[in-house]
Amino acid sequence: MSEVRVGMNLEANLKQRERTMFKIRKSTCTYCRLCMLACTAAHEPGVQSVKMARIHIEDDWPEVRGVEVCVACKEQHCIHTCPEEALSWDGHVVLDQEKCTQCHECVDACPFRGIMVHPVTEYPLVCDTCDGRFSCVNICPTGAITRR
Amino acid sequence: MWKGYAGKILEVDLSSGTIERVDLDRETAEKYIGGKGFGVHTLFHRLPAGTDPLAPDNILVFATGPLTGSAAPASGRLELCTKSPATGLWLDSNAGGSFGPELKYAGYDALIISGAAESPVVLLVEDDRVTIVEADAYWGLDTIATHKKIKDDYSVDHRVACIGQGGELLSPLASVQTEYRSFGRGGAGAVMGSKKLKAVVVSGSGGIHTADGDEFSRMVRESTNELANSPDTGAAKPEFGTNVILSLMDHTGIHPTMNFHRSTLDERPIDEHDVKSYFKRQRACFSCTIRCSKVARVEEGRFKDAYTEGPEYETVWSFGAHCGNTDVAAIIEAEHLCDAYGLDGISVGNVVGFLMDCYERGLLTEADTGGLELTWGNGVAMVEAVKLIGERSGPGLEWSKGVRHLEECIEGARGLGAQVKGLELPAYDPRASKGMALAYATSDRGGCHLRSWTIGEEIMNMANPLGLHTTEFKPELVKNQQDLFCLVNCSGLCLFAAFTLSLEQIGPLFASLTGIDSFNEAENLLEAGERVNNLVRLFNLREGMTAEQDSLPDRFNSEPLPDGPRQGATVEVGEMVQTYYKIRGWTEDGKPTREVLDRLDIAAEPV
Repeated sequence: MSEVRVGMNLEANLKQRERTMFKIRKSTCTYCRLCMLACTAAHEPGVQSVKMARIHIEDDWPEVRGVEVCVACKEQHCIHTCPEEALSWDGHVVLDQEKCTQCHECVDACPFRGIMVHPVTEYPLVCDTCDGRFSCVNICPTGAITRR
Repeated sequence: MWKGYAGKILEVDLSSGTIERVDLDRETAEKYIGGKGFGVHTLFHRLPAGTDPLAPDNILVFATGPLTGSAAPASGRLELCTKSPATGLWLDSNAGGSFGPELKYAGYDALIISGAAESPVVLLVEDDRVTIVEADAYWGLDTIATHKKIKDDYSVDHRVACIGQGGELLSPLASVQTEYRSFGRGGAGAVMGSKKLKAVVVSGSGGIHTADGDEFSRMVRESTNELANSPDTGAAKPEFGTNVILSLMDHTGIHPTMNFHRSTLDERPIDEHDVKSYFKRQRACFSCTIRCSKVARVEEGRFKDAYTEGPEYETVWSFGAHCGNTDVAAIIEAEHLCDAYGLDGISVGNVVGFLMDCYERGLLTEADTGGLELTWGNGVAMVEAVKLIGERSGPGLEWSKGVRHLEECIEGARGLGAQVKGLELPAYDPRASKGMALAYATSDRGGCHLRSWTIGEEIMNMANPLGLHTTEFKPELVKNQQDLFCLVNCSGLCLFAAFTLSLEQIGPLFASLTGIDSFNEAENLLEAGERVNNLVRLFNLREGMTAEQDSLPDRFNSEPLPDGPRQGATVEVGEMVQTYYKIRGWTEDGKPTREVLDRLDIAAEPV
C-alpha cells in the first residue's frame, strides 16, 4: 500500500480527480506558495509559515510538478487504511487526535500525496476546507486552484 | 518570545569551523529593522577598515527582514551584505526567491559568515543542525547544475544560494544565485569564492509568530488588494514583467544606446511586446502576487532552446540597446549564461558594450578579442564574449575585472566607461534624467538604480511630474527615496510592492507582525532608513571614499546626447550633490556631522 504514488496510474488518477473538490491548473501556478501560507495561518493561529500547510506545491523549475492536496477522492484510501480508525468523513476528512498514533500509514496510502505531516506534532494534516472558507482558493492570485 | 523576528543570528567562522547561535538584540531590531540594517550594523562594528574584500577577514551577512517569511505580499526578500571586490566599498544586494523565508523558518534572522575554508565547502543549515560539508563534488559546476545536484542530494525543498565559475574564479562581476534569482551587483559571488564557500543550503521546519494575527491578516488582505488593483503591480508587471517600461524609456530618450553614445537605434528597438513573445509562463518569488518573473524560451534559430527566468528589463538593455543588438534570442542566451556562470547581467552587458565601443574605434582588434568581431549588434560575438568572461579565459580574464579596470588598460579607452565608483551603470541615461544622474552619483554601492529611482516621480507621476530635464527638487527626491528604499531593503519587502503601497500601509504590517509599536509611524520607519544610510556612509568614508567619488564620468558633461527626445542634454551633478549633502546635514566633504549622528542615535564617531 505504501508504494502507491501519484503518476503511477495517471489515467485512474485523472478519473478520480473529476469527482474532487478542487480544480487545479498547474500551468498558471507561479510557485508563490501563498496558498501554503494561508493554509498554515488558518490552522495555526498566530503562526506564519508554509511548513504546517495541508497543501504542498512541488517545484520543478520552470514548471510546478504537483499541487498536492486532499482531493476528497471517492476511494478514501486514507480512511480505510488507518489501523486505529482515527480518520472519518464529514464533508472532509476528519482526524481524531485521541486515536491517532502518528503511524503515517494514511500518508503513504494517499495516491495524491494529499496528506502532510506536522513538523512538530507529527500528526497527519489533511485539508478540512477551512470549514468551507477555502483559504487557499481565496488567496491564489492566478486562479491556479479553484473550487469545483 | 520574539514576534515577527526569529530572534537568533547564526554565526559561522569557516576558518576555525566554529558555529554559534546568538540572540538578536532588541534595540538593534528596533533601530536597524533587519536586512541592510543588520548588515551594516555587523560590518561597521566588525570589519576593520582596509580589509581586502577577498581576504578571509571579509564578512558575508545574509539578512532577512521582519516581514520575510510572512504572508505580507512580496515579502520574501533577503539581503546579502559585504565589502565589494568591485568597488572596495559597501555592498548590499537583494534577491527574492525562497531562500530568505527558509532561513527564517530554520530559526534565524541572519547568517554571518567569516573566515575561509581550505577546500570547497557547503554550509548546511537544517534548523539547529548546522554543518560545514565538504563540496568537492560541486566545485566547478555552474549554478544551475549546482542547484540540481544539491536538490538531488538533499531534497527539492532545500533552498540553495550558490556561486558558479564566476565566483569560484573570483571575478568582481560574480553574483550569488538562488533559484534563478540573483544577488547580482558588486561581486558578492567572488567573496563567497574566496571563502571556498560553494553554497549555503537551508531547510527549516518552523514558522514565525505574529503579535496581532487578526490585524496582520487584515493588513495583508488590504495590501494584497492594493497590489492587485494597481495598474502597475496588478496588470502591467504580471503581463510584461520588468520589461513593461521598455517603450516608455525609449520614447523619453532615457534608454542608453551603444555604450551611452546615443539614445536611439537605426533599427526598431526592442519593445515589451517583442520580449513577451518569448514568455512561456509566469513565476513568482515567495508570497508574491505581482509575479513579474517570466520564463522565456527560444524556439527557433541559432539560439534555439536557450532559456532563462527573465529576461529582465535591465538585461534586455545591457545585452540589447547597449550593445546595439535587437535580437531578443541572443539576449536570452546571454542572460542564461550570466545566471549559469553566476555573473551580474548588468555589469557583464555593460562591459561587452564597452568592448564593442573600443573595437569599433579601433582601440581593440581581433588580435585582442580572441578573434571575436565585436561590432555593434553582433549578438553571436556578444554571447561568446560572455563565455570568455564567465570562464575568465583568454582576454576574458581582463574583461571580467570590469569597465573601470578596462579603461585603465586599453590604450585610448580612458573616459569611455559608464561606471560610478567602479560599478557599471544600469539602463537609464543620466543626461536624460537629472534625477538618475544624482541617484548614480550618490549611490552607496556605485552606479545603481535601486537606491533611488527618480523616473517614477519625474515622468510617471501623472498628477505632478517633476520633469526629467530640471535639477529642481531632485536632491530632496533622491534623499527621500534613498531613505525609503533603504527601509524597504531592511524589511524583507520587495521594492515593487513598496512602489504601490504607502508607508501608512507598510507600517501597520510591521507593527502587527512584530508587536513593536514604533513601526506604526511612517516617520520612524523613514528615520530608520536614514540611520542605516548614514551608517553605510560612515563605512564608506572609513574605507577611504571621498566626496570626489560622488560624481559621474566627465563624458556625461562633455558629450551631449546626439539624438532622440533629449538631444543635446548633458549633466553636471556637482551643484545637486552639494544641495543633497546639505539636506542630509552632511559637510561639504559629504561627511555626516556629530549632530546628524546624535539625531539618528547612531553610536559611532564622525569619520
